[in-house]
Amino acid sequence: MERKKRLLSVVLLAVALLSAAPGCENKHTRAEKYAGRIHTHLDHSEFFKDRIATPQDVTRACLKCHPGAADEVMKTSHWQWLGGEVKVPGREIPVRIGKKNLLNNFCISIAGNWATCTKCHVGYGWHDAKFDFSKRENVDCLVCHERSGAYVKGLAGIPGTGADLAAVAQTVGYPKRENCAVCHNYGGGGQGVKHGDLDSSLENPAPGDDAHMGGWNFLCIDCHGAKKHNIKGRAFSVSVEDANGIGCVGCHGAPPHRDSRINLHLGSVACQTCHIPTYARKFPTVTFWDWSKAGDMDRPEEDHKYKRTKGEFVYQTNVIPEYAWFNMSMGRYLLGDGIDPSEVTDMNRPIGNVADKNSRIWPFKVQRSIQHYDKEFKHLLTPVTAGPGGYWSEFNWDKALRLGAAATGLEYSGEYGFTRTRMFWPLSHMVVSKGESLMCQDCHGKKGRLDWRGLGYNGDPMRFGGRR
Amino acid sequence: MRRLVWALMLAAAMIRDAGAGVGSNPIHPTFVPLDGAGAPVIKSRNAVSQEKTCGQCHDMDYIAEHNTHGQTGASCTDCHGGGGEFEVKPHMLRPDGTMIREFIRISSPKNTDCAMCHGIIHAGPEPFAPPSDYASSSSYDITMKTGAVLSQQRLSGSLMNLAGRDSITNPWDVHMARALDCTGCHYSRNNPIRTGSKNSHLGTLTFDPRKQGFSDFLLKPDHVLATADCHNCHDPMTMHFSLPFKERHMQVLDCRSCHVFKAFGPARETVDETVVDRKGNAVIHYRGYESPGGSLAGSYNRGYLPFLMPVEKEGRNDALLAPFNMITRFFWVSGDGRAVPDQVVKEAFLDEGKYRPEMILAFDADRDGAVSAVELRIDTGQKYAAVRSRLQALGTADPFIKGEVSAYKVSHGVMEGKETAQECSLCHHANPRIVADVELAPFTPASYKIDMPKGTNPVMGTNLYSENGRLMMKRPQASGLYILGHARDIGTDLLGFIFLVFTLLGAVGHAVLRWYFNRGRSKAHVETRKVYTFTLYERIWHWLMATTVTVLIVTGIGIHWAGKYYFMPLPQMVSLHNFVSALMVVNAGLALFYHLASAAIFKFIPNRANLLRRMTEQISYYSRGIFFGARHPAGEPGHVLNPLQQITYLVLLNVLFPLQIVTGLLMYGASKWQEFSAAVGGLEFIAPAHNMGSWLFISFYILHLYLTTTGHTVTSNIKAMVTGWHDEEIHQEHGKEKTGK
Repeated sequence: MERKKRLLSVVLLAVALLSAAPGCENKHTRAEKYAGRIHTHLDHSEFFKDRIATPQDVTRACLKCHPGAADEVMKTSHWQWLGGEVKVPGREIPVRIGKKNLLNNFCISIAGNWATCTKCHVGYGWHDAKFDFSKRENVDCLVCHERSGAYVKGLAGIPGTGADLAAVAQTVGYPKRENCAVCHNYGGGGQGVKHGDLDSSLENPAPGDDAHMGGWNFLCIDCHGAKKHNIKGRAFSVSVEDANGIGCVGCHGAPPHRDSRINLHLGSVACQTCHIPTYARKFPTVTFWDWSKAGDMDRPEEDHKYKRTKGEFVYQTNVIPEYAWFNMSMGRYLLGDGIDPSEVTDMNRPIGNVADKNSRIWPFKVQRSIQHYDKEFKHLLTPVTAGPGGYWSEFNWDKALRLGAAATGLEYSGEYGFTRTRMFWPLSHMVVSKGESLMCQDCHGKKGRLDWRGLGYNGDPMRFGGRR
Repeated sequence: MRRLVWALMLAAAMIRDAGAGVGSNPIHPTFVPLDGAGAPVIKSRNAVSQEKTCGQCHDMDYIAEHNTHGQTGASCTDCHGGGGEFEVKPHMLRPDGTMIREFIRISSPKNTDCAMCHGIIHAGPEPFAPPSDYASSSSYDITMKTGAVLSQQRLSGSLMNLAGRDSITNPWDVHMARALDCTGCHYSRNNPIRTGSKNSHLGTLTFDPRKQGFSDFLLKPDHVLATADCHNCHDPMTMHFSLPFKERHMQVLDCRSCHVFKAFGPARETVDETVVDRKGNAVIHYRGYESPGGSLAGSYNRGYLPFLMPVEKEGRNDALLAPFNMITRFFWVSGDGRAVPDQVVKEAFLDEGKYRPEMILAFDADRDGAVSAVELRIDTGQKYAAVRSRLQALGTADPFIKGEVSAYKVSHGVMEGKETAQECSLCHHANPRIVADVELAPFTPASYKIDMPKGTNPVMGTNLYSENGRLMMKRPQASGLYILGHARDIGTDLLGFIFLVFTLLGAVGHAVLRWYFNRGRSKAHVETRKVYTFTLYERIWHWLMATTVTVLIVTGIGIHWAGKYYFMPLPQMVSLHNFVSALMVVNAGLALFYHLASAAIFKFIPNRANLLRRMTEQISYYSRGIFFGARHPAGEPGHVLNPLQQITYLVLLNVLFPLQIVTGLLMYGASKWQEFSAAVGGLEFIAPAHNMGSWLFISFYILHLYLTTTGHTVTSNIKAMVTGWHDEEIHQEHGKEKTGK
């Protein structure tokens, strides 16, 4: 009994002393926890000893041990290039949309250009509209899982005939940054064409390039995790809603800032707005593409400025984003929608406004282009460029558009013109930490970067009050 | 030709008109610009008189009497012109003589208005770099004098070559970054939005609706600008969570002592007008810059720590420490005490834009034919003599070098978070930043006269000396400050240390003798019996006391020599010391109550009967008997403590404990209840007293530890204090049983 009492008093004293000591919290543990989740992968080099003739043989070999994998992949948008039925804002009837049937204002459409576009398809042999989406052996396991870096997909996604497929297959493991990078960093035909916030600076990044990947050595799959090969995250260049999306608060609890004034912003400002102050910080990205200037044989070609096949470009570095309200749903131009050619047509348009409680101010890369439309039917047209008989080989827009119309089933009157289009790419990569993020004056100062009236405020909300 | 001129004039007018409306202020009413005679300028064609024009609505006499900027000759539109020049031109006037609305840019002062005279007020996205005319212009005074840059940008984003730039991600000035304007702190004192709402002696009023409105204010705007104190907007007591003795820190430190910890802007250190560069300008040395004479943007800049100097104020016993920059100016003075004109100095050095050969001879120390930035300073007698003789040749009688030191308070460039002074050892350290000598100049002129400014804002040092060629100033003593970890009272430390040494020597010597005389002697068999001597409570309070005193001694040493023996951060050490002392006081109080209530107190009170004899017995045992295996002197029945112990404890409990508790409380109270501590002489007296008490405590502690070994066996007393059972020696004297301890 006495001993117990003595023990108790000692314990009480110890507790009192310890409670006076400072709390030790390592702010980095959280990030390390997420970065350290990747398990080492089983060494597959023993499984691929013999020469492998075709890429489909690799897939068949994979499926021997991973029988369900191909079926899983075949359900995803990486394979189908088409989502499930979804209601596009402003439309009543649900539709299935995806890269397969949508237009953009870069290379415009895959219809008729399949073999070139499908270099980035996670499959083999998508040469034309007749591609069979049900053949398991056509799933390309390697593009995401090989880690040698020696695997390069050619036309229709098929690697060159000389490739040593066994050597490549021996290296398979969890996807590295480079696996995602080969398609997502080079979309649109080259580095920095489409995404302004994804380029090769993120393959071996410094902390200033991206706080997650550079600062904490995150891989893409640390955030873009996958269940049954269905990878998390939505690209609003194609998607119109955020199901299966990723949010900063998934890891960063609320309220994340020490200064309560910053936390007051969270209802109206996306994390990205302050933490992605500029994009394309190392390598330039396309912000303007004028198809109408293409085909001028007298004009000298110049990389990043003019191509006879493609027209005129503007590339920019360290670009300040444009800002708009966004409630995580996008309006979308669908094939055949009418346009007013004298106005700018939005390929996609962030939904939201100052009165919409669910919308926040987001940063966007806005791509502006000049592209083809049908003067009679008043809709955008889809030229065949890379495909057979396409513009890049014959420099004949009429033929290219006619072939394109045949591929999409769109009406084409023979009368084409050029109209201005716009496309919004919300930014979520190239995140910087607090030491480099925006500060008060960047938006609230005399030369602030936000157009308050354009956003629907009475003026700078610091002085005139925020939305209520 | 004439047509061309017309066309040009028309084009110029169009360009000008196109600029109308930019920065115009729709609030200010339109008005008729008047000339000095009060006639509309459209008729008289005379120059505009701001006195008359603005005086149509604003009380110019009142403004003239209440105007900080009055002596500078600044006009109304210098500050209210909406940035830049404001001029009335004929095309800005309607036929009736009133201003066209779009051209009225009159407004409250903008940062750009203030920047016209006060220095770098940098806005916009362009990275910050010192302007190219920085060295020659005098309109950058805030930065020149203090190194503060008023910019909202991060230091890491500047174009300057700063030490560790990439990691300094805080803004140049946190208030600028938080979108404050100059007028946010320097406002008109009777501006209604600035005056407090509680303006009445009626305690029930929380708001007085009768206070002056905007119309009154605009009629009689007070132009004596306020300089907002940090406390106008911030309550430091609601922050600074980890800072012990908050009140005391706030009382003796200007907020900016920590919050302008380091300045990276080019702050002047020395303006050397005794030499000229090739362009004929005086040479300016900037603080923290590695290469003299290099470009301000390009040369490596370590920044500098503003010097915390004591500011003495009337009605205060202790000094306030505030950050200052010292700028020393050296210039030539002729024998009659007048400054030698710049032109003469220039002529002494230069001949048609080139250094004169005799100057190159004198100054070019490395003989490379050119005078480098390091050589261009009069730091040798040879250089001094050369320039002096040149000046004499140019007609200056008996020239000599005079120095002038000015102190400028550093107020801008406020930092927050990790860029503030957070390291306690900056001050609480044997050699802290606050006593380090101030570098006045990177070189010492071969001969100079310098008069240090007198005054109390700040108190300047008077003792100058040269170290490694640099001219240094010893810091003045800051009165009334006792900085823990730095301040020492040599007397108490020495006395206490001597006392401790004697105690230690005594204990060690005694132990050695005990060992020496008892070696080889077999333990005499003494019969003992177990007596339950210490109750559970007695043992708990004893060991709690032992633990708390141990922690207090250890943390006390850590605080007294802060920075030297850091085993835990100082704030935590201080908190622990305070917490444990509270624990000890409570423990002592409860024990006192226990002893009084249970009459156990009598244990401590010596029985007067035979006191002297028993004391002598005890002393004789410790000094003789113990060495020869004698028995412990017989104690009195029922008394655990021998008379020597009783006396020691009486002194300990009645003198030393109260001394430490009272002085400790007063030290703690120096922060919260300053009057009490001030009444007994302030920390300068209390702290050494507490320190002396600690020395005595440590001595007692050691003696006490040693004496526990003098029981029946070496560890028997300690065992007794753990278990409560004491081995008592059985004395059989004259057939009577007596117990001995």
